[in-house]
Amino acid sequence: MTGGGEQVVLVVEDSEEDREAILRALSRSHPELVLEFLPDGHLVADRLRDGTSPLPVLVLLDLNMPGADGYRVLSDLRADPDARLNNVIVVVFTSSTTSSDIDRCYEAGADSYVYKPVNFTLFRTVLQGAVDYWHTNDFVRPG
Amino acid sequence: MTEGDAPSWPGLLHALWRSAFAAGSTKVFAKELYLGLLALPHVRGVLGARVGPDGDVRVVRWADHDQGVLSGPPGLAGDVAPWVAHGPSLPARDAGQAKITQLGAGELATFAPRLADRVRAAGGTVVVAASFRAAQGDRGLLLVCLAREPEDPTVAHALEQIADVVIAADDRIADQALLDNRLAADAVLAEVSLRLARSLDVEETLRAVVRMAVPGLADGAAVHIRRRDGALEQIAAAHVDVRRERLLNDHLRDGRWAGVPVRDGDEVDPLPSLLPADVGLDLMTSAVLRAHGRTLGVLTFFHRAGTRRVPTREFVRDIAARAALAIDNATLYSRRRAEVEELQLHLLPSVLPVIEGVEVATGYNVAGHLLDVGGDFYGVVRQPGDRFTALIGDVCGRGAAAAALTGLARHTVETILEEGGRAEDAVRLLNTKMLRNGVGKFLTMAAVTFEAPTSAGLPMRALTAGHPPPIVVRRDGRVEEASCRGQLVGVLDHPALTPSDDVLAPGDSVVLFTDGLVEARDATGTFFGDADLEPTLAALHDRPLPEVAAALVEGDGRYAVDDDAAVMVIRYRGRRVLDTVLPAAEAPQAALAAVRSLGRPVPDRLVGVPEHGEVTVTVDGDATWARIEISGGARTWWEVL
Repeated sequence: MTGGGEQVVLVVEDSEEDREAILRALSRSHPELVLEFLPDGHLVADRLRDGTSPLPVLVLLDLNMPGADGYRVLSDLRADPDARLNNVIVVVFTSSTTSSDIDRCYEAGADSYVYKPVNFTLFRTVLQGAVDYWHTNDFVRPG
Repeated sequence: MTEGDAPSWPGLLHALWRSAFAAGSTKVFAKELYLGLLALPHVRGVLGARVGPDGDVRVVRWADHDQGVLSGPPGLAGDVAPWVAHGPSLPARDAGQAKITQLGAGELATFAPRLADRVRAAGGTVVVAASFRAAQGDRGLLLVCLAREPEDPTVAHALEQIADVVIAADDRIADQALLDNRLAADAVLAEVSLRLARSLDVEETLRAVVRMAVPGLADGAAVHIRRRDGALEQIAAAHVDVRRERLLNDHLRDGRWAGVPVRDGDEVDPLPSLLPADVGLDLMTSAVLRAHGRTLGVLTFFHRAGTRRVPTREFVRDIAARAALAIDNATLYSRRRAEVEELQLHLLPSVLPVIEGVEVATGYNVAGHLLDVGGDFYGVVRQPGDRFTALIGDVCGRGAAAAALTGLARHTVETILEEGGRAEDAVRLLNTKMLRNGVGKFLTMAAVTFEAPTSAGLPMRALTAGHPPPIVVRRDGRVEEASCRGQLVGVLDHPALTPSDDVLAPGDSVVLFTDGLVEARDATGTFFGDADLEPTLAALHDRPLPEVAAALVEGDGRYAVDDDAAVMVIRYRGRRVLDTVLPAAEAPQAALAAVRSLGRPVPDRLVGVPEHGEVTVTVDGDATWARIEISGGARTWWEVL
């Protein structure tokens, strides 16, 4: 459980290795953030609707997951009438750089599309850059 | 030196040093630092600030006993600004790496009244401040508010010690950041190189390059390619924020930026981007993509003002050089590939002769990954006495020498056949010619000679010279390999050649092919020829002939045909009793009437035939078999009765 006033980043990632890498990277660069992990896209909407837990300031979303993949999660969030879901910042974090994947995510309502590198130093730098950007913008989606 | 249950100052300092050397950012131990100073005697508040080389207050924190530690509380940066401006003129004494200043709240109020108000509100009457250097030309400021004038140098000494901790941690963090940036740049180069080496799709790869650089190495990136007319075309742009990426794309496309550099100079320090403020990218670093003296495009990285993450000159040049080389290689490859395909097609007959009662279809696959012309060939030759011969061959090796031998072989054999010679005579003469001329290569060949049809069908003689024997596909789907055997051409003085004879009934086919087809593999590595060629031929036996040839040369969609592969399929269709063009609605009855004329039973109607426009209707067969084909548009409907 997180305390009041804490900034929560919700990480939706099915790979245990990637969850561990994200934890290591963000714990170092953004120790003030509280990380919550979901291994399955199906759980995202319920977590965001949960009024007893702090609303995440940002969702870090993997694209290729079994079950509800990133596209489905993203589309469902943006289509939901609840502002807790449709207005949360979503950063797609994926190893794909193909134009079709990028276009699809943009159409679905992603706020950022960030390449997930193999090299851990770059992985950390990229994550830090993306989170820094939204942190600088107070985790607010431009209107 | 301690108040109440607070830990001792030496203990706090020790903990601070440990935290400072494990932290990835000074903010990690900020709380520890501020609370430690607050625990000193008579301390009521602590202010910390980081000031950039231009005097801009970048980070500011406040701590007091009521509120704890606050990062960037509203208005504090503005309140500190007068101190930053007047600080250097205040009397100070050196204390290690810090300069220590002490003054009363009243004096503070004369040049920084709002800061003085904060000090008083916290219960302070005096401030002791330490100013010290920080990494990358910044200055650090720590200001302690005391309830009364200090009786001893405890606080000043503590600030001096804290300055040492902050400076050491800041230097280490800056060094680590520099190293991380370098490692990240190396990682981008490595991943970009892999990507460039794997793909010949230049534009898609360049899109990936800009995507991989943002936000790890730059806040934005774009790539332009120079077209043949010299104009630069924008290929891709990337920004960490989708909305700003769209803006960036629009601004670049509409010319609302500084544009590409006129020349590829040595200077790659960031320049003003001149992009509109809404995209938030004030600076840019460009590199011209150049290979073999030709300008191929421009790669540009964009940065926010004040960013610490500007790629090094070496990185920008390196990534540009790699991208340029990849573009150059891909362009040369595609040009060479087009030449190979054109030359390969010149080695094949452009038109096959039309022969009564027989249908011929061919397919050819040019090896997808090779830049040398291959040696597969085929042809159909009319011969005196209503005979004709279909032949297929494969010259060993690739390139100009193979192409020359392909031309020689095909024209030698075809000339002999046209003069009425037998296929085995043609092969033997070619063999002699190759040996006499010391060609130094060999080839394999297969041929099928068809005599004039008889009441028994179409007589054929199959020949192979080291080549996969022709395969006969009966009209009922049975598949039989011709029993001919023979040795390859160009090696032995007298190659053994043993032809085989057969007769095709109407609807039977003969398939000739080169080894590129049988050596196609599926995902498990199984060869097409080992496991599946005969069942595939059986399954395809009654389909329209062009479909059969196309399916084979594509590995029936299951086998990857990576090498050159040629296929020729010859179907004996028997007597053609109908060949006409009709409105689609009239075609079924006309076809059924023709089948009926052969003495074959017919159904009441044909299902699924084309229903619109004009169609071509053909009916072939005899009293034992009939085949209807109705073609309209791009579709061919067929039925065997």
